[in-house]
Amino acid sequence: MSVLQIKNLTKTYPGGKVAVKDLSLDIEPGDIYGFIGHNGAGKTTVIKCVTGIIGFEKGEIYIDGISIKEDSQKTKSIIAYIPDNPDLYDYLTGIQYLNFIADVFEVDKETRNNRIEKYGKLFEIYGDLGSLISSYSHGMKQKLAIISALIHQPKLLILDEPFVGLDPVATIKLKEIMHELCSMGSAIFFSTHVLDVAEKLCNKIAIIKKGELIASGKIEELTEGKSLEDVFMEVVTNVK
Amino acid sequence: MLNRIWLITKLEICNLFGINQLRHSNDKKEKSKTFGFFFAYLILYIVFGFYSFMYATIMCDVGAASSIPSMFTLIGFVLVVFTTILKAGNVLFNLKSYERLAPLPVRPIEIVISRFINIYITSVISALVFYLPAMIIGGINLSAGIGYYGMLLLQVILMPLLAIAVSILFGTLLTLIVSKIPHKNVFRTILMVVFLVGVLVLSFIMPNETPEEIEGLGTMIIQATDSINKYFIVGKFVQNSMVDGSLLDLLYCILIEVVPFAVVAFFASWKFVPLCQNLNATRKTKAKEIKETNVSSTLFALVKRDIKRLLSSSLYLVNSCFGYILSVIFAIVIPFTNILPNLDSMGVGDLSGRVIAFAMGFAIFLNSPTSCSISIEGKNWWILKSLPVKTKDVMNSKIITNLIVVLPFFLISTIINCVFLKTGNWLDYVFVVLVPFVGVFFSAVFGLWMNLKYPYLNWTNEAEACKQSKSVGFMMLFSMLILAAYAIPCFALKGPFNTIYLFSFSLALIICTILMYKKICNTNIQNID
Repeated sequence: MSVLQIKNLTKTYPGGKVAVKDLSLDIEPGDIYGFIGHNGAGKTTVIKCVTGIIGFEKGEIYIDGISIKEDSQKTKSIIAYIPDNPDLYDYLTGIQYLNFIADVFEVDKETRNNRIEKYGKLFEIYGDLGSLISSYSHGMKQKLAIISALIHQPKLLILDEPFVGLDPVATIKLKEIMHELCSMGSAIFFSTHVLDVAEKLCNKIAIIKKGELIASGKIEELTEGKSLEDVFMEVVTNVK
Repeated sequence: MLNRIWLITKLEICNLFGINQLRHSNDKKEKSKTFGFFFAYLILYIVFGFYSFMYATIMCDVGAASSIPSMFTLIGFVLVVFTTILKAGNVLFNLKSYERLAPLPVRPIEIVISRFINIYITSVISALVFYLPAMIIGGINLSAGIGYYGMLLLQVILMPLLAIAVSILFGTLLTLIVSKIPHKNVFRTILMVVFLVGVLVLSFIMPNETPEEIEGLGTMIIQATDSINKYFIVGKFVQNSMVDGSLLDLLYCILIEVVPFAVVAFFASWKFVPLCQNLNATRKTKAKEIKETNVSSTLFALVKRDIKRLLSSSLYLVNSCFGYILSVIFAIVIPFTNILPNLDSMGVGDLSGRVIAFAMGFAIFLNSPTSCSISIEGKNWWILKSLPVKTKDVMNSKIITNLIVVLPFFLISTIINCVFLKTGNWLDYVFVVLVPFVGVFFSAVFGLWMNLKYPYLNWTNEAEACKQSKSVGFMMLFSMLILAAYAIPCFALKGPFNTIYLFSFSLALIICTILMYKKICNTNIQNID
């Protein structure tokens, strides 16, 4: 069964702007699915619809077979989302924020402590978790958002431009975590502008232009020996 | 240089009252929101203008028209100081907006000048609204000549300069002190509460000291103005130049208003960059040890988070809980003032119970933390939207937080009221408990209902959410109307009818609270943005 199934998704913003038009895609367990497109192509809108941040008028989104329209609470409990610019609660300390997220996801004490320690040390912010988030740099906030997303071991991890603001070491560690999660049966769905990253990291990609999906599938089938950059330019230029 | 100053100033002015959004937004919802803000400001200014007009008319009626220039110069000065004092940190030395401009080929002095112009424009608007109606009334009453109105025009232009200089100076010092203190919010909250309570207590005490001198009110105002002028010397110069046409006083007046401003502006531009960085520096604290984690239910986790949010901001805390502080002040002050004995002497029967009940009701109905509890989420709103939490839990958390905050104030004020209430009628005790009790639940739910109707998440400054948002304004307006409908018949109706009315209205409010609560719990938070 697909971890994420988007069927004919259409999203129109107030004012009449059609941000996403009749978009469908499937993500299987173990997939690292890259979502690429121009600025304003509709990537973040699709991600926000999947995570339940915004509603949509047409189509269906199923997470692990459950429609997000029918039981959004259940679907949200098996996913995790990391936005491109993590606006976290500045008035909480890092550990208070992680505990809050763990409480909401009903993670037991031992598991949460182990995961906070594991990922906190991995991203080298364990010692700063007692400080207020307002004192964190952009990169530290990004790391905290990543740890909070991993605290309940989601079946589907959704990331919007995850590598922006991360230092090289953290970037490498995040990539390792992504592979580790997939090996445990989870799936990753992330948007990026960096084609090199998508090419090296993903097994599947989807290209979106003006809200419409113009190409999707396994990366080797799409590229056929060419570079992703060439394929992207070709597809984006040819499709009007 | 002038061209760049104009460009930066234009950028700042575009943001004033949401003018740019109103002009260029295609989103009807956005436009109507901005128009709402604009309209709210307009109403506020009309109220100010009307208040000024009425105050000046009374002064003329009691023969104190000659004191209007100095009295309103003082009021205008205080008004501008209090609206500008926070702008030292928030506008003039705002680091974020400086960093946005710093990479551009503009000099710090150009940024400083544009920011002073921005502060000056808003101050002149406040001064115009409050100053002009009173001064014109004074001029008409004194049959003043053209010189008076010429001086009035000059005063409108110059008077804010002195107030801006004083507020920027003290605002900068205050921000500098606060930035060095570990618990900034506690310090800020204490300062704000002390100031507000001080003003309130003084306004309660002052009329009680001289009730027999009401007939000589005009003389009293003139004497009071003369005493104030000894300390607020600019008021004396304004009065002498406007009423007596003294040119020497006019010169002094110009010097006193312009020179301090020029000095402050010079220092601000000279030390702009270091001041900007120092005022916005965060104190490096030692990394704290991570305490043992406690597992909580979702609702409890949300309540803990909401309480931390409320306590994290002095502005949010003081603005939304000011009514609760007021309820305790009322409970303490009312028994020690002449309000209740004076009512007795009017021969309208013993109204003590109802007066106290509705005074408490007024304080409780005034505002509630829930009226901006959604708006205050701001850019963090995505977190709750993406988490697997029930809408009911989110709403309950906001209401519970409100109840936790109000509970101590409610208990203290109710106990004090019951101790000092000496009517001997048990119904009065019921009123004193019932009205604020109904108010506590009603205002918590009504505030949240209003905020869900008019959420404002896209703020850049907390004050926009806590003080200037539609939900807060409408909550206060409608609460006061409801309270009037609740209270007036209770005083007007005779015999048992007022008691029946009070119980019926209380029941109606409880039913409304339950219905609103049900509606709130069915809200789809996805649609709130």
